[in-house]
Amino acid sequence: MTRITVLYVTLAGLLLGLAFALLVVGQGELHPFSVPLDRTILLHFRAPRVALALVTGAGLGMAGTAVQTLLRNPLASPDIIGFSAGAAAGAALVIVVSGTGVWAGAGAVLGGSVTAALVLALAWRGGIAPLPLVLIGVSLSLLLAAATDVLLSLAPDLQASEVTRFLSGSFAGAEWHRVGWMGAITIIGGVFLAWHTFAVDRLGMGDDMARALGLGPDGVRIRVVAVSAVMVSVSVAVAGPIPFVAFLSGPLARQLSKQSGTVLLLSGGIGAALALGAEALSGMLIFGAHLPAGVFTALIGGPAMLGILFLNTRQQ
Amino acid sequence: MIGARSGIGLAEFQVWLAGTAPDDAASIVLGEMRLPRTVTALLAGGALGLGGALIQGLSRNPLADPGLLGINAGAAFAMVATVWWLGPMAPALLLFPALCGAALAALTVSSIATLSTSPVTLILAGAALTALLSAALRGLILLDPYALEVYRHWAVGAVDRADVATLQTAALVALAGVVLSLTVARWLDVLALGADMAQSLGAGVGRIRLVGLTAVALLCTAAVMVAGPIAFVGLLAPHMARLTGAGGMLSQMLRAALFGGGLLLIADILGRVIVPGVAIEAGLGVTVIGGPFLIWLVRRQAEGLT
Amino acid sequence: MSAQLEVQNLSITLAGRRVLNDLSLGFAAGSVTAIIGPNGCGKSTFLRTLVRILDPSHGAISLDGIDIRNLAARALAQHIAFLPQTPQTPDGLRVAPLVERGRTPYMRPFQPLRQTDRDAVTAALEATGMTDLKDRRVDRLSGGQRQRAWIALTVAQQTPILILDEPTTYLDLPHQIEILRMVRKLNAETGKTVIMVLHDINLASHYADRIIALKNGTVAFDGTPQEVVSAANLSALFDTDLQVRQDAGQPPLVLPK
Repeated sequence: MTRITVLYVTLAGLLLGLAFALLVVGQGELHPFSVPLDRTILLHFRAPRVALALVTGAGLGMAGTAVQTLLRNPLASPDIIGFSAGAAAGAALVIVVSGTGVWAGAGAVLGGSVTAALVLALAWRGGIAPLPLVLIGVSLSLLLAAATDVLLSLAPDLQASEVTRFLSGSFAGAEWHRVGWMGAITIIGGVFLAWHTFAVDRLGMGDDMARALGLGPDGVRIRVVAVSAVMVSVSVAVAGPIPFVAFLSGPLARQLSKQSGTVLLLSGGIGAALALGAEALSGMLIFGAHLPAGVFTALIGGPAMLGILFLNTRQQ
Repeated sequence: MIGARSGIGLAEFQVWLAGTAPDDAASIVLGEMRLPRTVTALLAGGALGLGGALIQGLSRNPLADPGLLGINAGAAFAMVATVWWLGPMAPALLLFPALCGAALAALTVSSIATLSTSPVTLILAGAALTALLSAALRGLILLDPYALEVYRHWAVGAVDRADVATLQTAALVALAGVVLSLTVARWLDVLALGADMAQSLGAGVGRIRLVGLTAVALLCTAAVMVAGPIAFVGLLAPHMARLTGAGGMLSQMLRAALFGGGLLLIADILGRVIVPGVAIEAGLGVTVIGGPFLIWLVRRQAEGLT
Repeated sequence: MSAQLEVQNLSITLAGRRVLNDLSLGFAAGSVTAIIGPNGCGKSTFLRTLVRILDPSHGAISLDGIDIRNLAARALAQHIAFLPQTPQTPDGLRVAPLVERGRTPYMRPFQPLRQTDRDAVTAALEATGMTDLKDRRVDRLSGGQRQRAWIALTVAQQTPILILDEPTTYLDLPHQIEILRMVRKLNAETGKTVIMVLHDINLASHYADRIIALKNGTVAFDGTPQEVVSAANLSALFDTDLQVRQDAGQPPLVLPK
């Protein structure tokens, strides 16, 4: 078996094992086939959480690796260059203005998409070069994070806690219709990105080389960034920001498979595994409380990101 | 002198200065609310401006800012973590964790920055560190409702909450930072020629960086203690200093400190008078000016990168 | 394989500066042309305009009589291959997959390599002497080997015209010679038209049939090395006193005065 096959088999086993553990063992063993109440718990509480973690993680992993490869920078994932921050700010704004969390999802999608459009527009100089795009995205991300903090401090207590809950990023409270939305976006976006990996991988040789081979770098960049932004925004809408999954999946996939380029499918799988793992951790009691999945992905992803940065700069 | 309550004029200020009527309402407002507030703005803004000039000189990167590089976030996280661990405590005591947090964050980011002169690497490292720390912070807040209350009113950065004891401690910390900055100012001019050049001119690059970063950590801690994590002042002030013609590092640092203090003071005053009855916190005002400025700066920088 | 490349009244303005001014040139099929000139004379701009990375402000470029603006990007890439001065090496990419990317204009997404593609890649590796190195990581090759890998990519593109932007920069003299010999061999074996920017006039005289000198966006001189490489021409081109030694039957040799 090749390295890739081994990887896929291991990953599939890991995902199945985690899903099974979360579904049936979880917090108390279930007997879905003999006890009707257990069946209800499984179908309406545990299964949607697991499914949401899977589709969200896969979507984030694929969007992340596509943008990283596109911008030729392992650090330039959608959650670093402002799309997540934009979605979070949009959701926070809607919660504070409307007073409820009902429309938070719509706010997230709108916020993330507007941010992506803004990043592309500000980076446009008769074409889109990767480095300016990254810098503008990071700056905008910082600005939006500051704006979200401002909203949080201005909000009345009730909405402030609603915003905090939303921003913590969690698969708790998942419902089947959210799984449906995210699943559809993950599949449609995934196919779209898969089609574009052909061009994205070739853009890694520089714009001039790509053009000489008959490709159009600017069009590819706009389309891939836009689709990734939508994927990330919808993920924020259904689960809140789950930090670092988009960032971490691609580099992990490349490292494990020893391949270069987008490695889209593997990144999606690793994203799903990361999200599911974080969901499993969030089921455990820590200091007497359940922490949301987003906190765990951040605690794993943050140090990993600094490590990658460190190794990257040392190589130069 | 400008505030939500009118009717305090020069006369009341003279009364307060003379100390003849210590129980007069106007004197109390002046002495216990407005004066500390003004001192806070000047202290925090000045420290951040100076710290910004220092870190821009150290990293030779015009985009560097203590707020953007995660140094403020380090101090903030350490303080919230301490509150969460040990319960509510006097703000002045939070100095030590804040200092440790700022120093650790400064060390992490600068060790990455020293390996690469690329402005992108530095700003991404800062973004990563900020993301990590704010996520960890968010976890703590969820565990402890009290910490949320402390954090959300403090996260924006404002100049109206420091008490006199905190101000005194912070002023001492800032003073230490200023002294250290002044000792490295001359060497930073040499460092601006490049690390190799500096080394051959007899400057110990490692020592300059160590002293400089310690100074940055001290200055940021002082600012964070009194005013919370205020971003963009450290970015804006040194640019204003250079725009007004400051050449050498020393004059750049001094002007940046002045501009920083002035900026925060003006943001605070404007925040109080712009919408009657609503006090907009100074940190927000600075963000409104500083955010677009950063984007503009990045776009200008980016021309050289394409 | 033959394609006639014609440039008519080409002008290009970048950021308000006229970089190329009313150039008219033709490139005969099967010839090797070296473009020389001082820094900033518009050499790279000219090459990038030939492959439509830049659009001309005035004038036109035609391929076998067809304006290249009317060609699809893929069709153009099937006729002209271009190697930029500093292509970027993707992390961890190996030689064979790199060379396969030369087949991009013949492929579509989701479509695996066909037999013709694989044959083209094998032939390109063979022609550039990279067959033994095909499983090595490109970013770990030496400068000369890496340049050969990139040229292999352009060879796999199977185009009648090959354009190289300073293919010998950053290489030491033996490797410069190796690359230029290889280019000459490709020209002899497949009849490829080669247009390249070179810095070293002695190497250009040795390996090119024709030398075009650009200065301030216009042609300073144009002809075979024997015709145009003269002390007067070169001294004027570079604003430096130069002398040229011309031995019978040998390419001219440029020396400082």
